[in-house]
Amino acid sequence: MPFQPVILITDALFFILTALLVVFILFARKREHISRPWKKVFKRSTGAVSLVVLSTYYSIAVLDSMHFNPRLENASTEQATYSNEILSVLDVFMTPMRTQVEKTFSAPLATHLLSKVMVPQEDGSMQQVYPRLKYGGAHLENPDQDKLVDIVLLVVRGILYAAIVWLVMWAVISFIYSRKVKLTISKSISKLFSSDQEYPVCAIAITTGIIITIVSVSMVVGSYYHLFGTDKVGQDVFYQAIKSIRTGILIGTLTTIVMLPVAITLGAMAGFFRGWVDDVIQYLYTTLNSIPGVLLIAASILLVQIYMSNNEENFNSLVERADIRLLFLCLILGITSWTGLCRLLRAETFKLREMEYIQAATAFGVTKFRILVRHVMPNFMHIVLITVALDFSGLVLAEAVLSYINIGVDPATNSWGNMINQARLEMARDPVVWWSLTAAFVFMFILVLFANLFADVVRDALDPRVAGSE
Amino acid sequence: MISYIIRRLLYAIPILIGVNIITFILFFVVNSPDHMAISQLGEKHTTPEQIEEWKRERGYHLPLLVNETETGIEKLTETIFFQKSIKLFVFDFGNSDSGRNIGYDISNRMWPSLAIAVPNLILGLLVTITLALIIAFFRATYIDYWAVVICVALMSISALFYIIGGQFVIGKLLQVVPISGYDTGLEAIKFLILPVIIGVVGGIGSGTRWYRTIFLEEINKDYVRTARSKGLSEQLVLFRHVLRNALIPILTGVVVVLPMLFMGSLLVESFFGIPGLGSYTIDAINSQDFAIVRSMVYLGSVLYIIGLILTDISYTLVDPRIRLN
Amino acid sequence: MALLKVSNLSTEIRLTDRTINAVKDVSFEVNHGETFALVGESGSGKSITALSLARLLPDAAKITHGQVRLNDANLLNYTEKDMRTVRGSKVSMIFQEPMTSLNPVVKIGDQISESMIHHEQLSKQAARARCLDLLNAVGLPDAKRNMGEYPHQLSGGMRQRIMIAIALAANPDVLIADEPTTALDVTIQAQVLELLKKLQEELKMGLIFITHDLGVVQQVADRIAVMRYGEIVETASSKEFFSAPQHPYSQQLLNAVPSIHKRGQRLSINGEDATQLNKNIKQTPDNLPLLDVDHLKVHFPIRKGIFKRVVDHVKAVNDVSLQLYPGKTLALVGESGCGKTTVGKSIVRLLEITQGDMTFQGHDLVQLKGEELRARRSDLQIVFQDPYSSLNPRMLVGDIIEEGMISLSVENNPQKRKQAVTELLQQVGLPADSMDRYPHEFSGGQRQRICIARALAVKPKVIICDEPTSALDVSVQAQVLNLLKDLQAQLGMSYLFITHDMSVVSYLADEIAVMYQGGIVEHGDAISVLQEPQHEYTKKLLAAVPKLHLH
Repeated sequence: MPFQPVILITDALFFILTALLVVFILFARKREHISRPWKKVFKRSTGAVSLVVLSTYYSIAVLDSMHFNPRLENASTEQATYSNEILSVLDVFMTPMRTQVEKTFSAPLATHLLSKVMVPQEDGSMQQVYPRLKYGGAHLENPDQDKLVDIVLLVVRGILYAAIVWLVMWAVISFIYSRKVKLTISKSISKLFSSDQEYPVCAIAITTGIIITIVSVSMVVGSYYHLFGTDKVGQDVFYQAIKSIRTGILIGTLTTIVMLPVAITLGAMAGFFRGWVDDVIQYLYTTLNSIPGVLLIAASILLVQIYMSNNEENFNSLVERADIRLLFLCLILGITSWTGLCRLLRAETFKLREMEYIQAATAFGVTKFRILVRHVMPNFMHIVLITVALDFSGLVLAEAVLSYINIGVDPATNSWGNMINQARLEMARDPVVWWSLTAAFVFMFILVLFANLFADVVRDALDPRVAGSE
Repeated sequence: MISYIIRRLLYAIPILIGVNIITFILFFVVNSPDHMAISQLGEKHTTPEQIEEWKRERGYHLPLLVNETETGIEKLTETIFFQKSIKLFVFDFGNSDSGRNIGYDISNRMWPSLAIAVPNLILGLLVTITLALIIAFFRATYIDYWAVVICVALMSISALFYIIGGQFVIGKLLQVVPISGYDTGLEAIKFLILPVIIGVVGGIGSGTRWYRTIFLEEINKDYVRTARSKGLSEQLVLFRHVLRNALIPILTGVVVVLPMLFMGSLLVESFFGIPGLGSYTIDAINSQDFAIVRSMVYLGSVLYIIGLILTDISYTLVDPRIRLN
Repeated sequence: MALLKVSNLSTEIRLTDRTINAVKDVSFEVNHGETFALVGESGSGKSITALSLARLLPDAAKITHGQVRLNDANLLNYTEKDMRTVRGSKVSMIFQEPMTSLNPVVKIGDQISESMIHHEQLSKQAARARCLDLLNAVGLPDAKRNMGEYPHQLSGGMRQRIMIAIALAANPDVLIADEPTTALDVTIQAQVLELLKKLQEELKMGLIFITHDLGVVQQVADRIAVMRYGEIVETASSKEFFSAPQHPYSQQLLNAVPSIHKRGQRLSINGEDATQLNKNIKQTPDNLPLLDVDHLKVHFPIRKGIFKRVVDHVKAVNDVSLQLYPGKTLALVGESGCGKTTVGKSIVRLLEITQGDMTFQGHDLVQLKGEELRARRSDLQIVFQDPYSSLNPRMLVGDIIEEGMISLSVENNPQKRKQAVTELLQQVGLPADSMDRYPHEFSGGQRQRICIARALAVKPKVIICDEPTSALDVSVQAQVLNLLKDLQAQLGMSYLFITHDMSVVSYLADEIAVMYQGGIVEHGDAISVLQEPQHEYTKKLLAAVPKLHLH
């Protein structure tokens, strides 16, 4: 085998989450009352476009979660030996960007380093020059003249690849659609893209077009240049920003699945049983809530840090160590954030409890557990989903802030927060090193923006109060 | 009313006890003072004597809950739990791990925090409520639609971006105000302008959207239709009827954060070098000073609970439906 | 010349995915001092018509064409600014729900004087004086105090009087009353109707009265228009309408109203002739009550003070005794808040009983716990008022009906259970494939049938019907009442029918118990209670009910 798979704990949880997502989709497809509001989400162009963008981020995170140890290249031994280095499938795709490390800072698409270095000249004297980059634009004979043309040509090449992929993709979709509506291909294409189509096909087509173009152009240009420049140790900033996607998505999603079981169980129980059960649960979440979240996170992370430094022998590698810390962060964020949902669910269960169908079930002698599971929980699931969607963007933003205070993910983990944290001091340099910050902010902004837009559409579609007033 | 307040205050006691127990467990049970000492003194080359001395200087040498070596009441008082946790109830924070009096530091540092937080809150409220009213006036038009999209975009930008960007553009490029620092007296104002502006701008997105939702919820109620059926103008309807009702959730939402203003803002204060409680906390986190973190956790909880009580009281004061029942 | 002339008015509601033509080509006239009633069932477009007249439509609704001429000026051509001078001063409105229609945080005096100050530029003092006069005119006893109060401090009837005062504050020419008494109890309704009539005569207003209640219409209207699906199907004078309705739909509506004269008949639906009900109830030889409630008390504690001690009790049900005989219908009648629903829920043990005895076929019900209680639950079932909240929207209809059978082990074989569900659906007149559908696919009346099927599934001997038809339109109500009667005839169940609607009672009940403030004031044979009421309250209640007289 050319590789040996490695499954980190967060990978496993993330795959479980993905599997749950698939199961939910299959489950909802057959149930009209569940799928109906979701169809409404996809029919709104904002919803559909956001979903396409978010799925792109999500797929990158999935690719980046498939880890393995590559096989070492020594054919002499029979026994396959594997490197200790942990790579992901995404790293394979981005090999040039991962491996082409420069000496230090260089600007986006630059061919030379940012600052002058003393270089011995041919005549033996020393001179201050901007040295050429080892990789960025290294194929150019005369960078000052040829760079612009070269980049334009690369961009055109990228667009061409993108166009081909996009056309093939939509040809397949149109073909499948034509089989479904039983029309000729040309007729079904015009029907597919017509304005009275139920789903915003045009918007989806444009979005996929833009995304494919961006991916393709950055892949093509990125293998010859550093798209977003390089950082202090010469690492490609674009690669870092892409690698940070997994961290952002994981924080946004794993935190939620960590807290959901607790919030749902306690919220439902407090609202349903009232009395002392309610008192205890209310006490629990008011107490937890009263501790300032940042401080609780800070205290816990400090403690984890101390624990890890005292028990270093338990961790095999830096990656594993960073992974455990990421998981801890999700856990702690989960502990600080379940209270809000719990309170909402308690209030909703309070209301549901008085609903006549629950009274009818009581009159049938249905057990309390069964009432909770069959009557209460399915009817507050929309609140859970809305909260999950609304919380996601907040968690992604929180990661950046926490990493800034050094209580976020491990400094070795690629994350937008770490990028910002490491780069903010470079703003004082002259010339200003702005690209690390910008790259981190742009990638984070796009994810958070579309997550917010998506959450809005989901809330409109799922919340009976909003949906009813329209 | 008074019995209600007393009841709320009594209810706060078990919560504070709970907070105390949680912090005690987090700071002294999960990780022993030995761990703290090792991480403070550096892992290598520390002798047990050094650790013991470090602990003795800071009072961490005592047993956790019961001191068997003492007699009488001191069996319980000469313990970490009593010295470090019980004393918090009377706001005796003790000394920080670096030996400074925490209570003194807090009382000094809360003023700069307030100097930023109060104008930030007031200006922020004025701006966001005004914007939200304007959007509510143009509801269900393109102005409304795009205003919401802009709000969502604004709230999707990381707070770090507002701070770093604002500092860079206004402080460094335009050089209108100093980038960071603080001074006493009126001189402080020029250091406060930038952080306050950044705080207000950073809050526009979420604030405006939130207040718009509150206004729209009120606008769709029946009494607004009644007001219109009287022939009142749209402005009168908005100001006299909608705003008056919407102010109840807005006001109580503000009251709940009022006590928390003392805690200051972690990010803004540390970026702008303002010696408030926010930067105090961050410094403590970075230097792993658990005594300060513990004190701030307790202080934060107390302020949060005060906020909750004030909210309940303000509800009863503002809303005639509750006041007169 | 007509005061208000509406011609070819059309209004549509634009939803995100479709457009509803809520009002289609509606034309009518209202004269000075005339009461014009717009009658229709829910969704007929009568409220949207009313809102269109004052141009107070919600954002999604638009008037597409037509004219609304007030004193010969077309209101639809007015600018929004001009329209504001019309609203309140020329055209005023009263809405259905007085609680939500008043601003909860503005004092009543300010809410009334607002439009005087706005329209007539009265000074504060003058407005205050006018306000006092108005409050006296609408019959508020302590007007001075009421002006400084907030809406929540007043009762429902008083709030509606205040709504009327607001509407009349600037002496309008036309008053539009949109279901003004629907949310009120029948005795309060009678007072409000009387007040409206009196004020209209004094002020010579044109009154547009929108309602679904034909009894009320007959009491107040001079002329009537019947609406269905956004159109007016018939316009006639009150006298003509009630003696000889022309349109089949009008006839249908009138026939569907239950009354004492239709006892023993099926209510006619869709114009079919009324048929006799075949009563072949298995009479039990000994006339022992099936259900015997003896001195029932249900109190809810009021907690106050620092430690939330119980300081007092709300005596929701205070000493109620009643007997229900096999195959009979006992109507428990009363106004809102009298405790009738509490009685119903206590009998099926959904609420804790404070004191008293209940026996079912001689077996004690009060002390039952755990398994014993579960075993007894199949004998006593309940059907609730709101057909929307009584079905779990996340469950298939089949599963809903099955639930009780599983839980109470009525039928443990899945095959047979499915068979039973099919039969039940057939019994309540729903297609068999309903079991694989979700509740939201059904209308209100169909949902109530599902609720009845669900109750029947465990083969109960007593069904508590808690206002099962009061959320339904009159024609749907007729169907459900027929179904209940048919089922009783077939299966011999007893009903405890809880309602506030005297016309349903007079049609359905064998016996009547009248409840007032937690206790039963009169109990007896239906006919005698209806025709010779003994207790003062019963007399008052019966007098207040608008009776429908068909000529």
